[in-house]
Amino acid sequence: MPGLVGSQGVRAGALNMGRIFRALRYRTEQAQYVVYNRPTIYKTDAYGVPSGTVGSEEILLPDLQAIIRPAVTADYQQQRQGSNIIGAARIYTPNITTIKNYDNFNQNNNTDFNEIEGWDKLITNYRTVYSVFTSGNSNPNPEWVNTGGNTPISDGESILVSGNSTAVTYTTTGNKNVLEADRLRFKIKTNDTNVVLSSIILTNDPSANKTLTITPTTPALTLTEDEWLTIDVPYVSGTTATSIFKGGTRHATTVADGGNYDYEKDLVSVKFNWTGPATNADIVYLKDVELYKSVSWHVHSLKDMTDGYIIFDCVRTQGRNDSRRRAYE
Amino acid sequence: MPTNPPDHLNNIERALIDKLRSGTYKTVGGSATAWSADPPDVTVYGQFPTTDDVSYPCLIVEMVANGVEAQFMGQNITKNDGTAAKGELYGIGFNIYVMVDRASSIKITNTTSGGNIEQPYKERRLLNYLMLNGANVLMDLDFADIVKGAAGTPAATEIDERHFSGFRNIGYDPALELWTTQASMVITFKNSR
Repeated sequence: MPGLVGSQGVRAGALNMGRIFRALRYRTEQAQYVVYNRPTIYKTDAYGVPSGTVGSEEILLPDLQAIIRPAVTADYQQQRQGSNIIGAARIYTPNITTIKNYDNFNQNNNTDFNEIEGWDKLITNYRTVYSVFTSGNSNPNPEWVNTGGNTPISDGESILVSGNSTAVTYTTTGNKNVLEADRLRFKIKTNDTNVVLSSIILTNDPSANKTLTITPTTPALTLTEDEWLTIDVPYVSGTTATSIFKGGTRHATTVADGGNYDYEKDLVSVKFNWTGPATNADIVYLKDVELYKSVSWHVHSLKDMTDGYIIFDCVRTQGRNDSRRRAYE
Repeated sequence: MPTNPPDHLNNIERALIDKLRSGTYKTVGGSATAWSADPPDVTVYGQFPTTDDVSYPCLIVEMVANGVEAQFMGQNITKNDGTAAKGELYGIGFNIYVMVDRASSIKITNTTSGGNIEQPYKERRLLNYLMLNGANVLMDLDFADIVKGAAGTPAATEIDERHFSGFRNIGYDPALELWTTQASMVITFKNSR
């Protein structure tokens, strides 16, 4: 479809959007990898009201390139509605053909994704609240401790866990306040196809070791060979189910609060559990582990769709006030 | 510091919120509940919630007016227990809003010839359910607690009449993806002092 620019006489030259995204991402936070989210769609009954039968599972796909240009990021004025539009942004994404070339968005792999539609959500990183240290592992007193196998080492960017380790635990130094965070993101890969990620366990409250366990269930989540898999899941109370997508396949994922996990308490540790490593052959790599505060932009309208890019006008309808969250909980 | 001053507006507002939270209405020989109070199926707010605070489905009770309904000779009234007091009939008006978003769902069990069926109520069906059962709760409002001056309500409030005017402006707000409606209610009470 020719865009507005194209129909106004002067045709802009072909844009190398990938290059623009890359340049902006390196220099500013305007361009980021965002998470595309479409909630579960239920089948409707004979009266047009959704039933309890899932028609299309939730889609939660990280690593979508986007440029975010907010007009208003947060508006705290209250209006006569329980909900309110409290932010507006114009978001640029690559053209739909490029998007569909990404593994997760490829319709051959993921038949549920067709295009970005109204009220789909683009979840952006508003602020990284806690970034896990992966550029080294102290000696003595390592931050990263293995279960079985060899002591984790770093290649300067990621943590490498080798031998027949079945878990690695990162322990924070001095416990960290992560109340503002509402999502957990990390990248993981292996050098073979034996390793299955079984769970991620976050522990907080130094005095009680309360746990929050994120478990990929069906089908089993086999890590990709020599290719980073980005996992981006909610870190909020009340979440019981989410999704991890690999190559367009949804891995249903449960989030279980193992003992009244208290989000106001400091983070103690993050543990990654897996199964199936071959002795002294398999290595698990981890990097970019972070807890971040997100902003969820909802697609309100599609402004322009060209062969170079797509422009969406997006709004925020909900936001969080962290001071009140701490005061009220 | 005043002791046991009349506080009828707060007594009534809080009773209204409490009863809506309980979802309880009267039946022949007893009572039934339309939604669970703990954990709450429906969040009831006493004013418009802030955007970080809102949780759907919700009922919002908003006082919009109050004033004198009827005065008596010499401002003399008789309380229910027969004692004399100064006062008048006073009215209080509320708007009550019902809001349901796309993710809202309440599980309702219906008994059918094939046995009990648990179904999630959503969107328009949920709004219809909340309207009728919200109305049921409002029809059967029991002010016994505040009439008796129970714990937490130091000054007894005597309710005279209630008028529920029904739901209007039932619809869907596409900009916010909310199914909403609004009802009005007037309660008159003895403003005894």
